[in-house]
Amino acid sequence: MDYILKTNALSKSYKNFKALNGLSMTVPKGAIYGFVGKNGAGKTTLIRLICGLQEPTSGEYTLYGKRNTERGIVKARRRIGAVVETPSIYLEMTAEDNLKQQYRILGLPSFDGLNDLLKFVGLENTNGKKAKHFSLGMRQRLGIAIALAGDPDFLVLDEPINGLDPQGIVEIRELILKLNRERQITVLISSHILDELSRLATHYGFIDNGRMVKEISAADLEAACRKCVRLEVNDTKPLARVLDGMKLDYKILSPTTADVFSQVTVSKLALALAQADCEIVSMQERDESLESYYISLIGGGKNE
Amino acid sequence: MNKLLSAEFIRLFKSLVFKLCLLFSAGLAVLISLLRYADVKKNADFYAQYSSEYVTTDGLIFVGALYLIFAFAALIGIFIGTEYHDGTLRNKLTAGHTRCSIYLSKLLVCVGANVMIHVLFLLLMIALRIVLFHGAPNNAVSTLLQFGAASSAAVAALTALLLLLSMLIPSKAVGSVACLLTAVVMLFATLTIYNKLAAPEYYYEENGTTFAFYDEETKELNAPEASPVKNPGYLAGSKRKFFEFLNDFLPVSQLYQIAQKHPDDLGMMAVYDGVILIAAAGVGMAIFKKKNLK
Repeated sequence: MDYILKTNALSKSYKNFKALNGLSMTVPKGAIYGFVGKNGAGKTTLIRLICGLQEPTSGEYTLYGKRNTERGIVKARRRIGAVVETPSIYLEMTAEDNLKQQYRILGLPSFDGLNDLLKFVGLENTNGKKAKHFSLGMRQRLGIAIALAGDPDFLVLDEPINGLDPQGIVEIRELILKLNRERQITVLISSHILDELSRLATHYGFIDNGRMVKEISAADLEAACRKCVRLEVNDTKPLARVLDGMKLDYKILSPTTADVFSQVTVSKLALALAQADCEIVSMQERDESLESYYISLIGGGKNE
Repeated sequence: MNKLLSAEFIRLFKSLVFKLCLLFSAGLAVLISLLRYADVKKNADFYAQYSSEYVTTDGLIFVGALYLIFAFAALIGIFIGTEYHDGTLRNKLTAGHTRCSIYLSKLLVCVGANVMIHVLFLLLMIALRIVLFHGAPNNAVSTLLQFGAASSAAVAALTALLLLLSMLIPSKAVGSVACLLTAVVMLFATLTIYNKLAAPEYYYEENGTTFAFYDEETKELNAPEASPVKNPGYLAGSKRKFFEFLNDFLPVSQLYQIAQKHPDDLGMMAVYDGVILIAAAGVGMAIFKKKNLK
């Protein structure tokens, strides 16, 4: 498999604080890589290192096969588009002027494609409005447009939906999916909004305290997350007896609820429970969410 | 580097702060010229005894830089601070530009901007001299060109120092205030150095009053009939040499000397400006190269 980015035991310290502590990760080509971790876990630090904003204290990374210590890394970085923390836009300029400025920085010979890019991110009708008057979502989209100006094949987005309203979140999600599907752009998204990430990511990297806890593809994660049926009954004691009798794997959650992990034949179970004088109030099929997977991986609040 | 220069110059010409600085420079030239013109018209008899240096704006052509240093500081503080505040420095790095080329492009653009502001003042002063006082300045063109070039070199050196400061402070507000404070401190230092060097070696006492007369032409003390008293504040020996060095070395002190049209050694000043420019750029690039950016 081709990899866009590989990091090897990457560390970054600020005085006595270790923001990254031997982090190793791989971002496959064509993936939407969800970089998951709580605030302060080291997500933004890694992105700053990749973008050349900071130098690692130890360890190394390779971008398009170029090591960060090689001269060619500057050239490799030209293939990246990035929005780190806040969108990098001149607030006193219009969307068009911001893009023109980026075209000049990149040394593009003309402004061809500029209007298409504005249209692509849905900012074609902002006219003379300065970026400082834009909504957060519009700024975020302009930031992405600037990141796309150099026609990158690797897009790095740091918390792209932070602070956005529901409409803005949907717009950014659609945009990312469009970029990945239509332009085959590999995307690295850092976020701690897991529900949103689960709608996008094809691969996940879970980071905690500057270390990579787990890297997994979305397909493997789905397989790893156990499906279950959540039962709500009037009393779990008879339920437990019935489930034991049927040799089904289960877990009692409360005096009235339980999760059954095995494949259940609903009619058989209902009949058995009726005979045991146990009333079914509700029955729902559930997947273990990304959130619960993350919590079980990181250890919940014990690391807070 | 060319890409960055082109992008940065276009941003400069579009920026409000640069336009305001140009306006300030032009307004200052007009104000100074009109005030002198009105004063000369009002007190024609008084000015009749003086040379053209005082009766026209000839003696004021180079004073503008001493006011403009605040415009230079504000421009650099805001122009560079915006890059940190808006996070746009990141776009340049991810576009594959090296930190050295980013720093150098900023230096060239800021030097260009400040020299433009300075030269605008000089040109307007000369133009207004011709219009208001019916004739070109009495100074030789070569002298004006020399002073113009020397003051521009001092402006460039000052810009390099202010840029070093603002590139190291990742906050627009703090960076701007630091630049303005540096300009104030440099101006105060200049005035202090000048006053210390200008202090007479001897005072004269007569009827209990202490005074000193200086002949501007001969630099000799007048009033020989009075009794001389040694001035304790007079700088002598190595201390005087050090202050003289500072007077020639510091960019604002150079501008002060040029404003008075009595510079010690323009050639040496240009060398000092070159040293400051290269040293400040070297130190700035070395630190910026290692700086953790956000």
